[in-house]
Amino acid sequence: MRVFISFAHDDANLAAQLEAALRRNNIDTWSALDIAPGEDWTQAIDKKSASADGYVFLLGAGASENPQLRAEWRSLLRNDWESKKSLIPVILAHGGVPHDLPPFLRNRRAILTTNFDDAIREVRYLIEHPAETMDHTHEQQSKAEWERRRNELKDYALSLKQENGAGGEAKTQ
Amino acid sequence: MRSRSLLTVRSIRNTGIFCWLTCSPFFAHGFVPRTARETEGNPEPRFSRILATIAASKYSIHDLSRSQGEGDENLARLNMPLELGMAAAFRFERENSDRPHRWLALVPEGYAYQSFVSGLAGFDPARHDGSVASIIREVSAWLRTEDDALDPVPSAKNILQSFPSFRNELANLRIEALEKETWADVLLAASNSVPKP
Repeated sequence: MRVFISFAHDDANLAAQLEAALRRNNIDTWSALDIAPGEDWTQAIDKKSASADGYVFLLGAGASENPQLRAEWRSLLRNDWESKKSLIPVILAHGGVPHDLPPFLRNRRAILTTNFDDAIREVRYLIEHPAETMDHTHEQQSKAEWERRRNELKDYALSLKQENGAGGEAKTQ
Repeated sequence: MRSRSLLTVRSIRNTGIFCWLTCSPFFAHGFVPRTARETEGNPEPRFSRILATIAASKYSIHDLSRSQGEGDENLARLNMPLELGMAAAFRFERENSDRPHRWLALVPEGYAYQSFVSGLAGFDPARHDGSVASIIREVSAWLRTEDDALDPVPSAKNILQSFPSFRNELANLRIEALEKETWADVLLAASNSVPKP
């Protein structure tokens, strides 16, 4: 199991601690801390995330608004095009799960770093049990929301069709 | 309607793939695909219709891969950079407002874009090789990070595999419409063929 650790520059110290702890637990990890001097950042992230089996996302305050971090997330998700990799959010907070988790992590089991040793144990457990990274609490709700939006879009298409019928045809290309 | 979006991908020349590509990824992630084609027949100039559609959308995607010299006269298509300029202005103008605008630029693989559109430096454009698969990967990865995206969503691979189903749906709708299918038909075909998460 190879794990890619994603983190913001400000959280580099904790990322280093996490990486060291996971390696002590015989988990093969990689993060931007391992980029060699002069190595192309974009290519290294792309290559390592492609070969990883799962991603750990360290999320500090304002992570969702960090442009560099968002760019890294895109690289990771691009390399998860079958949606089969484990996505594990690790929240660097003491006050609970923040409301601005990126959408692709909202239905994943989040780990808080309130107690570092416990957090390492939980991360290790989820890495070894990828099927449990999904938080099934909201699964039905999420599926219902997906269906609701699809129906809403369908209604939108039908209303557009009626408008077209009333105002003339808009032929496709 | 909430979280409306605009997708205007221009690099694909095959009409069927183009229609599918401008709908299915957005449907799959819970967004509403919009293009200037939905207002075809409207007497307003195309430029005005595009401006109005971008203004009403929260997200937009702009493919610059054909903004390079082509054909006997080596002319570049410059409508897309023009439209990206509109989107960039909306993003700047609406920063920190309750009507933000977010955009993604698609550029050819490699770093040539840094020469022909150096102003994108620092905006992390998505690079693709012109293939449908590479565009789907880039678009899906971006959509998954945006606030209004749903989770879970169909994988990019499943979206790609839905193309034959879309083509069949659209063919049926085209027959019903006596070969004059509308943009609404394209949307319906996408909504009927989009894979479930």
